[in-house]
Amino acid sequence: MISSLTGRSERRLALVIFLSALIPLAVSVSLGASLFRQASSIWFDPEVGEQLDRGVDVYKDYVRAVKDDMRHQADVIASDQALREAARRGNSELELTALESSFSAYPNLVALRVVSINGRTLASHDRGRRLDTNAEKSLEVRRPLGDAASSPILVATFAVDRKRFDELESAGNIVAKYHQLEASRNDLYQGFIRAFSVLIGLTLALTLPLGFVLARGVTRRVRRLASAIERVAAGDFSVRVPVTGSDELTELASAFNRMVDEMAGARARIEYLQRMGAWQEMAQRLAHEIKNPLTPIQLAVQQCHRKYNGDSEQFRALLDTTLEIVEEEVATLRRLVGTFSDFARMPHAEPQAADVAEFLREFREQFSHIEEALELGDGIDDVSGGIDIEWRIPDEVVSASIDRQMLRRVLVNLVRNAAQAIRSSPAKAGRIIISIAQTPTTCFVVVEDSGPGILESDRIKLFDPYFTTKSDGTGLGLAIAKKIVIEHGGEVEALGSSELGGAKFVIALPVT
Amino acid sequence: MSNNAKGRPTFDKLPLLIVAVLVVMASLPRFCSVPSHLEGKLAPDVSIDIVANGGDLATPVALQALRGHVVVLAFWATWCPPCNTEAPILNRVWGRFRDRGLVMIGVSNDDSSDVIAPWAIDRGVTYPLAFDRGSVSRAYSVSALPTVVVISKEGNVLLAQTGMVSERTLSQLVEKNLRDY
Repeated sequence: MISSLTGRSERRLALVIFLSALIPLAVSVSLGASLFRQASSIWFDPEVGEQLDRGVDVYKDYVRAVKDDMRHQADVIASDQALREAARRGNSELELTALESSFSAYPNLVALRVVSINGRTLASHDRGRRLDTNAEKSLEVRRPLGDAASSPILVATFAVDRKRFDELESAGNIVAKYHQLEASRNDLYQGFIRAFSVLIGLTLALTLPLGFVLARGVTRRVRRLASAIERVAAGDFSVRVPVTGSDELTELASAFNRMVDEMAGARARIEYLQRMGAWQEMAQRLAHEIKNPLTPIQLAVQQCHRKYNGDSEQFRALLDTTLEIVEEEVATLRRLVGTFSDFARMPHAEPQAADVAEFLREFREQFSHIEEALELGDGIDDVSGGIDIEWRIPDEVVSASIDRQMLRRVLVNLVRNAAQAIRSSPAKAGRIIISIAQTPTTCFVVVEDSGPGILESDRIKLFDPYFTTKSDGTGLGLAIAKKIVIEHGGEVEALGSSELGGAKFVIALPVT
Repeated sequence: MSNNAKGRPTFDKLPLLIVAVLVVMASLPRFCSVPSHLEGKLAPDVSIDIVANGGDLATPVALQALRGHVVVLAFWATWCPPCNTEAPILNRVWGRFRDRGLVMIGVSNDDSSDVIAPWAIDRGVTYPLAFDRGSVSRAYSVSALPTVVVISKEGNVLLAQTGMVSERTLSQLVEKNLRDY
């Protein structure tokens, strides 16, 4: 299902992008995992735990020792014979004296009291300041002052610096926390793995579509090319691929278009030359078939005219007219036959490397002579009168392969057509521009005029032999021109002139 | 270590995730390389910049606004010889049906809009010409030039053809759709 909906290269690129994101991620996961394990094995070393526990035990021992010491001190005070005697006697004053004498020996004491069995204080002495609960921790030790059950009781209140106890507590807390952490390190590890799984999932979700989108931009254009190539392979040269973007595929697209252009051009040229060949053959036969009977026809009529000796003036006049008509028509036919055989015997162009700009300059120099040969038709005395010819020839070299004589013939034909078109327009005057344009592969010789222009529907037929829009044309001029240009490996096209409004003929020649 | 064994099940779900993502992506709409898949469907609405022979067309013109007209979109470029050959055909069809409600727009694939107007004069083309920065061609999956798209009065694509269109095919299609009213 997947393979039928996505292209192979799309999947490949998506996979590459995904892997290039996944591999570092996977490496960092394993690195992270091993680091985590290493760190946790150092941090959670059993020895560390034992040492910590031992530290806390030391604290506990210390505190126990402090407490034992105080109990011991209380024992010593309680065993004081004077105090015991006073207590046995129930003499408060003596008890007080004994308490006071003991007090100074024990700096940790806060208060000493003698309490009767029913809780009444019999004597008491204290250090003179109250217990500071913030800084000190108190311990009360009770000891009987006699063996009898009713003996009074010594209550000794000791105070110890609280700091020690707090330290013990926090050390205990830390060790407890450590143990807690130790117990939960599996959870931590799983959290770590889960975070990376989410990252991998995100990578997957982001990189795969990204890969597909990126790949599709490329594959879409490749597929466009492929479908166009298929058509071309099937012989259809009527498609070109859009040239988009600016990468290798763009170059490929324009190269493909150029190739198809060339193939289509070559095929069109071959077809045209074949067609022209057929026309030439026909012209040859026609010329032959027409030329042969012309002389006998003319001779027969001339003989008729000469041999008539009758008196009929009317018949004489008829004969005169007949001779005149036949001679005129035969002359016209001879001229036509001449054109036909010229066309049939037209030599092939033999192009040689030359500078087209220089050729055009030379053509311009010769043009004054050529103008006389332009045969612009009846009633025009001044050939170029009212026609302004502008030459736009670049100074740089425009190199192409040309047969100078043949190409001159083409240009003469185009310029003559342009001049005739202007003459046939109501204004009878106008402009002709002859120019050169160039692209890296092609040079264009352009002849445009301000005449009435060419009907869009005639623009292709124009180059067919025997097609003419002029009353006295043979329809061979442009056909010959096209044949010559095609033999140059070029192309000639009839367009409309955007500058002058008339016709525009573009001769495209391959640059050498 | 036992904690490794615990971490594994998360990784085991990855292939499943990959498959899920691929399935989602496979169901995304695919870029089709041929425009003919549009035939019979509603024509994508696009905005077209008319640059020559606009006449009374607004610019940019929204295709949606041309409902009720038979619309011919002709994708071309000045550098494309078959398009140049096709232009007179389109011009004749346009000339024949313009008064009966045909809207024809030549959509240029050129790099610049400057070449369009001179081309129209050179070729004697009178139908409106537009410049496309790529969005119109993309919307119609134009893979090669020339491509002709014929859109009915209801806004459906009747024909989306790559390669030169014959005058007869185009005329008949336009004529038929203009009559079916």
